[in-house]
Amino acid sequence: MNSKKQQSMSSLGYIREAGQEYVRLVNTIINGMLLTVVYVVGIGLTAVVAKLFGKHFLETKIDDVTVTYWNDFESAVSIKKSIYRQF
Amino acid sequence: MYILGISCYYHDAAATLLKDGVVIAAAEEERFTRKKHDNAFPLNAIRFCLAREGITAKDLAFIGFYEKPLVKFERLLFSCLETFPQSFIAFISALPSWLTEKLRIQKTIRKKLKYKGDIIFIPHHLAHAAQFLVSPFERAAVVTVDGVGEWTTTAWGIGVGTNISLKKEIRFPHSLGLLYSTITAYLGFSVNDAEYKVMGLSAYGNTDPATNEYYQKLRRLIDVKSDGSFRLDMSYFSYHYTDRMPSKKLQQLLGGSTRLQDTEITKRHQDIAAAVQLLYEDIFFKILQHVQKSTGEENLVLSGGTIQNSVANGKVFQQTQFKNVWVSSNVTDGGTSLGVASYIYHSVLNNPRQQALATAFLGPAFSSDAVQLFLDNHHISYTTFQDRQQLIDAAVTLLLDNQVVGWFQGAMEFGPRALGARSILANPTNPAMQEVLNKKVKHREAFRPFAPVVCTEDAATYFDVPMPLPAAADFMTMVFPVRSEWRQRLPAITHVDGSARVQTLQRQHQPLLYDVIKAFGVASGVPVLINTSFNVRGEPIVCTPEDAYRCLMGTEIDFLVMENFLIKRSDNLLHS
Repeated sequence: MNSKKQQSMSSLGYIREAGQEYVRLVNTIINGMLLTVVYVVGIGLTAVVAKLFGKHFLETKIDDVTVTYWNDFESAVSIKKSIYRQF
Repeated sequence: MYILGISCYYHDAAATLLKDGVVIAAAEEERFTRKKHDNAFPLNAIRFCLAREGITAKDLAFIGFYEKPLVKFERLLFSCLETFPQSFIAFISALPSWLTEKLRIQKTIRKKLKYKGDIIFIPHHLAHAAQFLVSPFERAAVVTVDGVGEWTTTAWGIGVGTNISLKKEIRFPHSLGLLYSTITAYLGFSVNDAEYKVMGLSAYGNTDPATNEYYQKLRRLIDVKSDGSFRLDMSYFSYHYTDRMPSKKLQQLLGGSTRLQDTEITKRHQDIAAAVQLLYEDIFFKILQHVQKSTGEENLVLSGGTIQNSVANGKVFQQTQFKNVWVSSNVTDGGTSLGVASYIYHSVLNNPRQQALATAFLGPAFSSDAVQLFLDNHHISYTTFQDRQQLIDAAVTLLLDNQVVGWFQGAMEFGPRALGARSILANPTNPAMQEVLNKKVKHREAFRPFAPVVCTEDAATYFDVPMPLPAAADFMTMVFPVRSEWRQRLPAITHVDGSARVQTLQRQHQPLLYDVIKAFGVASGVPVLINTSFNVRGEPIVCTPEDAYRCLMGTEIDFLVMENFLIKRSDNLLHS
């Protein structure tokens, strides 16, 4: 009796695990599809338009003329004003 | 007033609890979850911190977070925009975690901790720089060098009293840390983990910049100005749009593809490691010289993940005008939990500073009763020491007999180094001990040296250390030469270039270990021990008695001295 009960419990466990795996898979596929759309439409279009206007989002050029690459850090006063913000 | 600092979601998640400005407890999440460099929300570490004081989150006046998540997210989006369409995979793989957890940190904190008070966010490099507030200096120049924070990769400024003002920064994608990590990846080691292996390997390569061909090649990767500021030639890198670090162009430049893990390390790999170390030091010291000149300060506080480069740290005294240097026990992202909590207490609330943080022993501790209960419950065979002297005598006898001894005493260290609370001790005078340790326990690459621990007042006898001794040497954050007359007597801790990553020990911090070292010195003629972390390859340092016992039985460590008890592995083989 106990052994039968154990067997049915382990089958249930297996089904539950397989179900969860299936949900995870569907989730990953849908997320991937949605993110692909966001990437192509959101990132892609913006990137193309930015390139047309010569806008750069990262400063990657080596500059032979400048004497320094140091940038100013945000001021201590400004940091203290924004401590409750995530930006 | 209690303040909790949190860092998480990148690597080395951690929590730190301050009570009226004094660090009460601090620990990394990895020690509890047993996942190395665990970046998950540090719930276990927080629970430990609160339990140490017997409080709940309701008793916290503030919680501080170690970065500005939205600014970091902006950097991710901007990188994807700049590198479209190469950034597709990076975007797809990074975004889910941002949407489900990283951008919801405020909610997570409130929900998981049931906390309704104020949450403060400060820039990542400021959280690193805030280690100045627990340094021994009233004023100092502060330099942070990291992979990347939000945008900042390198920054410098000044700390005076309770104020820290970062003046200048280098911004992503230009990063000394990521340059070093890229070469780490190229050499077949894991990024954000094994950079120290490259540092160890570098001593085997050609360290002459004039004749190391890879040094000349790596110079092409970076444009460095006279003030130490720099930019990378990004055509050699791909980390700004993918998780594969060396680009094809870099692989071509270095004359071959990325080394596969666990394949043979050749002279070429050694020379490349030497080249990147030379390059790092060149730029690092240029930055420090510029900062010293600009600030006029004598004292220097260093922080950030890249500051784990203890070889470079040890040369600061020779290469710059700084007279005093502080590197805390935890300069990684884990240490920023301490930084943000200290910043809130001192810089935001203007409370005066306390004594410098002189110890790293801030983690969980287990009483002799708790250890005995564990041993009895698990039917483990052990011997109880009758008194302290018996423990010391037994430890020294075992070490002289070239036994490998696990050492579990007091509160666990906060930071990546084992400093005598969760250590493995061994005899450094035995030429075979490096091999023995590798074979029995560590299973690590043969080129990696083991570190020594020496009592503070004996350090200058055996090692060429600057005097007065930098407090940072207590945290094993600097490499110094072993004095030439002692190199043959200390073969197991002397690296191929004659150096060692020395830990100095003051009696007040670990009196028992201190006395063991002294007694070992009386018996052997050399008061120095090997001190390596109590873990096996790929696992975090042990935290609990159970972790320690499992490590003992899962390796070939001969004995474990755990609080007041001696456990012999061979007496418990039925457990393994």
